[in-house]
Amino acid sequence: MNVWRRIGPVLVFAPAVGLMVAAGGEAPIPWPQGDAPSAVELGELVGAAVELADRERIEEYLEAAEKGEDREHIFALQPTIDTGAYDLDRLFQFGDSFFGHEFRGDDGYGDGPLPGLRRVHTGVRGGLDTYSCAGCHSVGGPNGAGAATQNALLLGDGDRASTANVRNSPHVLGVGFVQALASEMSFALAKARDGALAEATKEGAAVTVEIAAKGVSFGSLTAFPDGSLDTSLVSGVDPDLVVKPFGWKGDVARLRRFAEDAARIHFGIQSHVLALGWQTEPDVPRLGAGPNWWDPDNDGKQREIEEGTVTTSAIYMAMLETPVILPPHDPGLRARWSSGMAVFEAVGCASCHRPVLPLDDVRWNEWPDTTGGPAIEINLIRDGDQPRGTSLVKLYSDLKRHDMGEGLADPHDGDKPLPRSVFLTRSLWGLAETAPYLHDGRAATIPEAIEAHGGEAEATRDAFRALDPEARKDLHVFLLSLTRKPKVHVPQ
Amino acid sequence: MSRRGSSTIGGVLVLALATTALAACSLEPSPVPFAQKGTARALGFFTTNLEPDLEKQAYEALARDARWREHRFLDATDPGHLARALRVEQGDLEAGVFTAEDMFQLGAQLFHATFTPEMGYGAKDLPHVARFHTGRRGGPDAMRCASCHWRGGPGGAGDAADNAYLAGDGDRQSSTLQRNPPSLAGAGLVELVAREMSAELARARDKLLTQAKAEGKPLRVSIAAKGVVFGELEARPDGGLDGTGLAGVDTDLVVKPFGWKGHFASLRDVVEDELLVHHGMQSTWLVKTAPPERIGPFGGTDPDGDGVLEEITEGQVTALAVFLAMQEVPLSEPPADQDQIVRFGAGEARFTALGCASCHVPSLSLDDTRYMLPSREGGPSVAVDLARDAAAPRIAPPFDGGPIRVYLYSDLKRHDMGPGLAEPKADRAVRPGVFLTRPLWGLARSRPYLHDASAPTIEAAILRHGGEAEAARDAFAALTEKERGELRLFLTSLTRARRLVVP
Repeated sequence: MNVWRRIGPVLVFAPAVGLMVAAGGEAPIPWPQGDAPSAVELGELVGAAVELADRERIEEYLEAAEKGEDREHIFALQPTIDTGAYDLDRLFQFGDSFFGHEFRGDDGYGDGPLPGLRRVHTGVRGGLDTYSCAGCHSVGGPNGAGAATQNALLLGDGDRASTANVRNSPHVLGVGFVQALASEMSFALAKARDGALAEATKEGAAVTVEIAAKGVSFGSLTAFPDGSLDTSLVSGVDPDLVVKPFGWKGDVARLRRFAEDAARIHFGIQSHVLALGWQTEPDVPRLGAGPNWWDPDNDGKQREIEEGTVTTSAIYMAMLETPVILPPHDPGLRARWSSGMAVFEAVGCASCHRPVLPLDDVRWNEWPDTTGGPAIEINLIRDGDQPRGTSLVKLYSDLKRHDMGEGLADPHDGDKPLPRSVFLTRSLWGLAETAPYLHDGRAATIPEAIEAHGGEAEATRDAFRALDPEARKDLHVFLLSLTRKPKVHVPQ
Repeated sequence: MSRRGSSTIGGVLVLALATTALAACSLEPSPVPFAQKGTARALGFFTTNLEPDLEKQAYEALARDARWREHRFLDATDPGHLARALRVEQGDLEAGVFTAEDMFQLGAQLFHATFTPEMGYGAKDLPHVARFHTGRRGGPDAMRCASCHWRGGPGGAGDAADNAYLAGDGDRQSSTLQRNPPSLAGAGLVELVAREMSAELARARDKLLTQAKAEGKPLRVSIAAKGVVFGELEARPDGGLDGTGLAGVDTDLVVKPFGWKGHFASLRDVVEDELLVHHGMQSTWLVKTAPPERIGPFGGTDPDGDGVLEEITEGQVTALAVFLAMQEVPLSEPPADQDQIVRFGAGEARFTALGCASCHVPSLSLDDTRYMLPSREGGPSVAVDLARDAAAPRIAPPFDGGPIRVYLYSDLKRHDMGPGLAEPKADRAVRPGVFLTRPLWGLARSRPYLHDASAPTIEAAILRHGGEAEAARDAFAALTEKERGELRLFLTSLTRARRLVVP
């Protein structure tokens, strides 16, 4: 009881014992952009948050009042999109609803009426991890990364964690830029290959060329006069020379395929595009044995998601905000941040984690799969959530695969012919808000993640270890500035 | 403030991690605790306030975020800076050094802290991260409390993906018990209501014993607290008790409102157990009192053998428990649409008519809103008044006077939920099909539903009810689609206050 009486005096006394600075209330606010947000900016941030919250609350009540309303909000037909019926904002909204939609029996969730969650995937068929995309992208804000609990356990036996390869969910910000960069790189590599082939035919002799895209070398290839290729010295990309920037091992090139596959392996939700593919070539391991092509998982639901839903989810992700770099406020810390940036280059991190990749064309065309309709054009630096970024994409990746050494290797082979220890250079933008780190979420902190590097990164890791401890801290400060813009949200 | 030990332990640890990968982390034992004593500071990242003006609220949220970012940079230049700031000592709490607001902030800092091996995360003989728990030892499966309590707002619920897999063999999902992280909103009031119920049951028991002695014959009566009947208790004249007729509560008559099966009476017990099983962070109290099957085989002051002593102080347990007790109260927000309001009203009536309200009792009374946490070290209690100090919105007396009522929609009693929801095995002596009535407040912000998150929607959750709830479930299933919609509208109104946060 005496505690009650003490609280009053303590309140007055607290500043005297030095808690005032700690409490922060009276100390100056270390605004990351230097100044406090302006009234206009605040108004915009609040307006956006409240508008979204209002819409979601109304939709929640609509679904309660009449079952099936939720499904309407994700249900975009590709032929309707093809007619130009929806503007980009509307397409974005469809995608946003898709990202938050809780898939359920009525949608074709799983392959039975009441399947329980199955956290360890069964081979390439997948598991049942959760009900919505948002469920595993909660860290650091909407569309963020996954916590360790949200790891997916891929390609297992359906029960034992030890049989699976572990994957931590990455954030999905700025991925429109990533997709476009990779596409331009693939184009450059294909052009080099085609050039070599043409030259080989012309010269009547084998031609070997170095192949590179956006300053990133992907080894070399040899073209023969008969039109064949030797790709054994190609590195960091598949022999098809298509740069695939999605997935920890870099095995998906397009956002639409990424969204479609995620829905399939995490919710058992099969797109109509996949079903159409099953019709001509039944992919039983991935989709199920039918018997009907329109319902490969035989759960009585067809068109579980439409081609149009695949399109809107790809457009949505491409229009999400872009990560930013926000240095510390304090001048002393800012100095350490600058030297940390220099350390990042000097130690060699930047040779794979390329700070900037230039994008030639900021327009992205999202084409449908089957309808033959027109593409939806997005201007990546203009359309979508703020901040957008520029055509100099501060990605901190070379979008190339590297051998990371035995310490980071997967315990099991994957479904693609890639060594267990090979991973795509993880882009570092947004880093500070995406802990835990690495493909399996083993590292709680950035220094832990750096320490786990091996293989091609071993020399750099050793150089990091050999640094003066203060320089290591500078590097840590710099890496913590790779973040996302602070925004207010109403939690849903 | 020196960083004694932090860099040496850190270096060893990080190396160990890099080389052992997912295998057990091997750490050099060291007697040096990571942080100094008495270094706790409320850093201004969190608040109990809910500013009504939205732009002001947003400004304050952004300011708190700015402080967080700057301190995170400081922590990079001065490793351990954040860890030291949450090193709360029980003596300081008991001496009243911290205001209620400070305690809330310190608890929140702990709740959002990233537990690292330097701080004591993990155990020598457990994997670095494990999705499925090994017996009572736990995973560890997470590095922060907040990473599984995020949905719907601060201290919120976990997604299905965040489910904990308890009491398994460390590898097979099928060996585990699946638990969805519940929302913590209103948790302090739940504990207070339960404590009052336990006291009422104890008084009834004592009265019955006295009566049996006086009358010289066994007496059997129906025993109840706050109107909730917990079966029958028999007292013999010799002072003996027969609790075989009790229902929904253990024979100790202590109402345990936490855990899906009602295992914990207090938030302090919850905090300690979760820190242990999810992060391998061991409180000094558990190190002193718990058996090796819970805390590890290595004995002494470091039973999990990770080389870190005093991983969690008594003060940190207290700060976290007080923080959880101070969580905001969920509220009811009816729809704005006119037609929906009418149907919402009908739904509320239906909730009672169908029988839902017989277990999901809409409200229980509360006599005293003070949350007192008695010291386990012989000192004074640490106390806050939830009606005054808790995070807004707080509990308040009804507008029309009368006692405070807590609208939690639960009887805080265990019930048999039938074979459909029963698990393959019992959990800490509670039978496979038996669960505590889950409070429904904040329901709309805590999807997915049920102990194993097997229901993505409210309706799916209702339809999975069985056992004692079978009649109510059948009554719901017999409704027309339109009538079901009324009930769904009512249940969707159970939500949390709108709040602007910077994630």
